[in-house]
Amino acid sequence: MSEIDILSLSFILSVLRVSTPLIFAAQAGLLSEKSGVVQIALEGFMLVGAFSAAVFAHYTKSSHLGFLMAFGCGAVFSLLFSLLVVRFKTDAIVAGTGFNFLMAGLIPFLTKFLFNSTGSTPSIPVEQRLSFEVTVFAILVVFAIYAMMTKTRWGYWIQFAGEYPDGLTACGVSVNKVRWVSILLCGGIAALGGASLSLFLSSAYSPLMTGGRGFIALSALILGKWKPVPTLIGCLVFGTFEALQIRLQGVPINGVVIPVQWIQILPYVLTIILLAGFFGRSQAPAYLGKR
Amino acid sequence: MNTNIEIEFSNVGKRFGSLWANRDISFSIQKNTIHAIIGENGAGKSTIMKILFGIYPADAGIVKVGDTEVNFQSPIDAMKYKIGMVHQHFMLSPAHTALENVLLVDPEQKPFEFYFKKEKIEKIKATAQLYKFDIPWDTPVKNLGVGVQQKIEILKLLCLDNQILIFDEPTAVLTPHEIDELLNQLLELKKQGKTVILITHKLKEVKRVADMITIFRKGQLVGSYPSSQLDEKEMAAKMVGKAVSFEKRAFERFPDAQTVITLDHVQFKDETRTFNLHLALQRGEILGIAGIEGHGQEKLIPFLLNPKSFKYSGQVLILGRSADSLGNRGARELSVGVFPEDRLRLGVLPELKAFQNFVLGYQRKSHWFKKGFIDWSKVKTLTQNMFDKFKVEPNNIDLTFQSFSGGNQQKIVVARELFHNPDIIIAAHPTRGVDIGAIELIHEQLIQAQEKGKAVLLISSELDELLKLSDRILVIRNGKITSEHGRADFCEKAIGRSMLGVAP
Repeated sequence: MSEIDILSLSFILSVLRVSTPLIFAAQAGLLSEKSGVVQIALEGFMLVGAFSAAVFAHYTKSSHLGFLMAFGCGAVFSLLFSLLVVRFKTDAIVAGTGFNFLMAGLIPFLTKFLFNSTGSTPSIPVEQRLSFEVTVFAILVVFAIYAMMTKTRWGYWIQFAGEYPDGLTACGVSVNKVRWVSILLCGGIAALGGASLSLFLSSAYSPLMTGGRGFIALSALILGKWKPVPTLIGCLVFGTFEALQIRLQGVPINGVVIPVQWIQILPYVLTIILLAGFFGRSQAPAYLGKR
Repeated sequence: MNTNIEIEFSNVGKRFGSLWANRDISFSIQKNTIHAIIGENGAGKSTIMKILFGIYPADAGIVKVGDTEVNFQSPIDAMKYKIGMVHQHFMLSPAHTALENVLLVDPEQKPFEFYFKKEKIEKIKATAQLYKFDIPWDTPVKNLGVGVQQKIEILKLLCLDNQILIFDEPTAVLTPHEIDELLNQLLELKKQGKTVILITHKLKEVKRVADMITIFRKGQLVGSYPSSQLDEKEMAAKMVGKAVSFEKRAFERFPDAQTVITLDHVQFKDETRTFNLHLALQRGEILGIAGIEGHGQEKLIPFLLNPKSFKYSGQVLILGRSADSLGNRGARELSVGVFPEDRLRLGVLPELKAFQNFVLGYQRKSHWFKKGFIDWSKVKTLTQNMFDKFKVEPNNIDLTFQSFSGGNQQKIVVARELFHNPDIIIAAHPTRGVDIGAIELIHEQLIQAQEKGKAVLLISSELDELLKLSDRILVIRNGKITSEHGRADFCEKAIGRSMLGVAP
């Protein structure tokens, strides 16, 4: 085991690095699910963010601007999702699945159109890559959402929209309006998660680079029982597994090299164990996915 | 006289599709009174109040609050005129605390303000003290009893300084003791200068607190009367349009007291509690089960219908058969009829036609079949006979089940279950959401069954119903049967206390 030192600074930094996209995405999912809308389109929003960030960073030569534009693009695409789910009351699972497929198909189309490539964007220069300011920002977002959810009236509107929408209506607040705004923020913040993948963890968009992180973020949300700070911790748990997985690749343990694939499945096995409810009863918002 | 009028309706009407839910309603409500609005289900009493509260816009007529003509588009408009409504189903989030729920209401709300404003909390607590409400502020609402939840609802309105308070069937979910408390609170509200509107169909309560009574029948106004002018019988007659019998039935013990259901020290568990049941149901009796909702009576039916699906200890005998000897269909193999508590979910397939539902649960009975196939024309004839006998309205067996009103739905379920002439009838809340006419019919059927020597197990949250029909009442509390009351010494107070678990 001497090759990997779990407590080394470099390992901790790598945990923070790989956790950053999850932190954004999980908090985005929290906003949507707290307002009562099941959010499995996180994957799609992350793809939007990863792609738009890379594109704008490439054209404007500014990664920060690219990062910012990802938020805008995610928010704009969330309107499509809200239109289906909030306005037309489509089942959120069906709409979310469709949305993920749409994004997976739309982006190669756009790369062909913009760059005549099969799915990747041109790389930005390495010195333009974002750094840990993104992680710091992600953690600030967590605490901002925590403060909003537990201290402000708007936060309580979101909570009531997920727990007892009729009660909110009776107070004269439009549940749909609350959900529109929640999903708008959700789309934007999830896209930031994607942007941190293409501008912080790497320097370009590559096809389907989210690799299921939207769903892992959802698991972190469930592990965190739909609370901002525990969800952050959930993300770090998954991040640790991912970093470990990267570290363990090709490293012999007591002389035995574990095949890469076995290590790569670790985060997914953890997801299944968590979703199967081994960590106590889930405390989902009462009206999640109901109308 | 005129200056004392708080609310005035002139020729108000409301249409749903081609149906008028309210038509030509004109009456007024005096300031600082308790005004009761009574009528059967579907008589339009809730609709008119929903118009006043801005949930529905009126399709015709004029509503005046004070001297101003109003046309509310949403409850927010109504709130501006200091009108508040306590809904039948509480508008509370179970996961949030009492305080969080009360804080949600605020007409001057801004999205980005701090939620827990100190002066607002102080005002809420002061108001609670003024009206002597004792509320555990930091407990999640799901852990509080319905009585307390209702107080939180009322408090929400009081904190807004509402002048006009509408109560929609407030006593439907309360125990006798809590009802008593609520009625006193209504009187207290009146003393503080509020105008109270009480929508209900429980005439005893009306008689006790109301100053004025307005009666609705079939979407039309019957009239407004000072409550001193009417007694309960007259009120009921005006609501139904004919005289209604209120007498408790004469009770005769059936001579052949054969036991049909025996639960001998039965114990089983579900997710929330352990059940201890020890009872015997005899032929020719109606055994009432009383208890606060959610205290385990809802588990009694699934248990009796199929004890084998529970892990239990003790002995269960149904019609002389040990429960262990029953097949997978449990007690339904025997002659048992059930009126489930939630007829739409447990009793029928709402999208299917009435005559199709008539076969449901009895699909194995041979008399439907001709050469191995269901003979639908025979089913239709039999269904039609039962429709005629039970006076189901509209008398059309081809309609889907869900298109009937609550009372008629229940009549269909009762008709189906009684058609097979069961030896045991398990009736759970048989008259919930059912209007007075149908209640009478269902009660008559239960009494007739009892007189024919059937055994009836009656589970109900309406104590009046239990007192009227039962030969014995068992009180269930927290999954255990805590007391037994014979008809000779029925005492509403004692049963109520036993339901609450308070020592006598």
